[in-house]
Amino acid sequence: MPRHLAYTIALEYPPGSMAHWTMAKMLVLSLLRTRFDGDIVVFKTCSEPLFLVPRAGVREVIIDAGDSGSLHFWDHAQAWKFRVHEQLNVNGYDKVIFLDADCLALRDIGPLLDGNWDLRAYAEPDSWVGERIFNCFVSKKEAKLTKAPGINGGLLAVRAAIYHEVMRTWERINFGPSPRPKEFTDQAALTRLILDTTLRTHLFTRKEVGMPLSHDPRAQDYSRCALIHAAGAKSFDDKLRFMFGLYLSTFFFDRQAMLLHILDA
Amino acid sequence: MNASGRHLIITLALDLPGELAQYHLAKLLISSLLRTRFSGEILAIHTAPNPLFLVARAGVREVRISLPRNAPRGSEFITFAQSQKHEIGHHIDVSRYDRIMFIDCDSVALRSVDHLFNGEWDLAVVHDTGSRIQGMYWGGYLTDEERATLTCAGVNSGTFVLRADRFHELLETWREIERVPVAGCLREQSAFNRLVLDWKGPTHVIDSSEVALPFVTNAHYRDCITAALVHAAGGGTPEDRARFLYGLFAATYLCDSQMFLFNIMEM
Repeated sequence: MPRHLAYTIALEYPPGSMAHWTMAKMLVLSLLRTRFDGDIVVFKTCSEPLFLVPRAGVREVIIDAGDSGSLHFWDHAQAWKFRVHEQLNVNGYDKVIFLDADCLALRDIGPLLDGNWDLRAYAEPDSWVGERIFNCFVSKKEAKLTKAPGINGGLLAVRAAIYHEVMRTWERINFGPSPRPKEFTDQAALTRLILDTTLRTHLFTRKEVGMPLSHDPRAQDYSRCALIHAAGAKSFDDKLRFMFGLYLSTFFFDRQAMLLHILDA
Repeated sequence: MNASGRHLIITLALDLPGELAQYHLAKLLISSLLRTRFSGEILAIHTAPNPLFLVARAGVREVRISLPRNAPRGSEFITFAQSQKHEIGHHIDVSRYDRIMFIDCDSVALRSVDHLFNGEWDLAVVHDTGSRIQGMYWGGYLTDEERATLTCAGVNSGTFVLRADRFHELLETWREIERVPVAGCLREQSAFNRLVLDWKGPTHVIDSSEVALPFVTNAHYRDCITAALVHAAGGGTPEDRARFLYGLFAATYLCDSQMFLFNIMEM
């Protein structure tokens, strides 16, 4: 059986916040509850452990995200998606998947990592590289000549053997020159990477990955996905509530409505 | 008429022997109504052997009924259960209330529904936005002319509010209409549409931002969570609907910024 590695990052802002810590905890638990049989690493700035009772196969790594300098904090934080590659030993793994902390596994994501490919990314439905949230590494002229989709920066699976190389490329594009002002930089850099790559790329399908708060708002659609990404919420509170509701309805719901009866006896 | 009036919400949960799906849904609905501090009374009519709440809730009355011996099984039971909405009148003393709201038990309240009782009308209903009343779920009792000319949406029979003194009249009329067999699905809902078309007295359509029907109208989740009431009609099996509503309930009432419950459960 091939072994896989999943990782996420939880960088907090402002200091003292535990918002991403909470989401990362929910994501990790969802992976465990769906019987993901790989290893999981969480890079985080909060020193509080995710679990008072450590979970097998889960490693927590505290990082110092440093000063964001002239960058907006979130641009600075997003870059850690690829910067942490130096801290990951991927020897012995078949595939490595990065997941934004606002993802939630509803089913085992193992099957998403099977197959003979180098890269799996998520193209946002009906998107175009020329849109503002994807385009800072694509000139106006180039964008006009293509119908290529924008790639969501919250999800990337890579064959472990080329993981470091791909992350270095992502980082190089991210911090390299751009034909337009930089914004949504990590996502735009990944879009550029996928546009240029000659690696065997296999995009995630909408049946595999749902974005309920943006592209897949119907419960009958997103509830069948293996993985959901809660990008697109109006507020952080909305996002957390949505994730919590989905988490409870997926993992704490049974035909006897046990938890409901305990809580509301 | 305003929210200071005496109001009643009724729901009906009929399960076949050995099943509790509707009972659980009713409990979720009532728990949600209580959490929104509904100012009126609630009546739950159900078939389950156990009470909805081991600790009785103030303002909530449970009436346990038995299914008739000849109640159908299988898919026909659903049709039977839906038609029981207009058989509940004898459990209600309408003189105690100003307005009465019926809510299908596959619903959950996300914020106060008190304001849905306000207004100068006798009957307030909810449209299945985007539908046409000629459709098979609404139009069974239309005349040929109405089929050709009506341009309105179908009315959902799962949520309505009316003046209490006209409650029995509505139930009786509904029952009379439905007595005539017609083709199509959801005969009780078709009969309710006929009733609304013929209703003598001021009617009101409750805004879709107040009562969301996400599985019927494909409403976006973001719109769903701002509604006062979410009705999961059309959302698959009772379990599918319960799971969806349970998620909304949890997100609304069990989630706080410290994620208290989550962190207790998942230490």
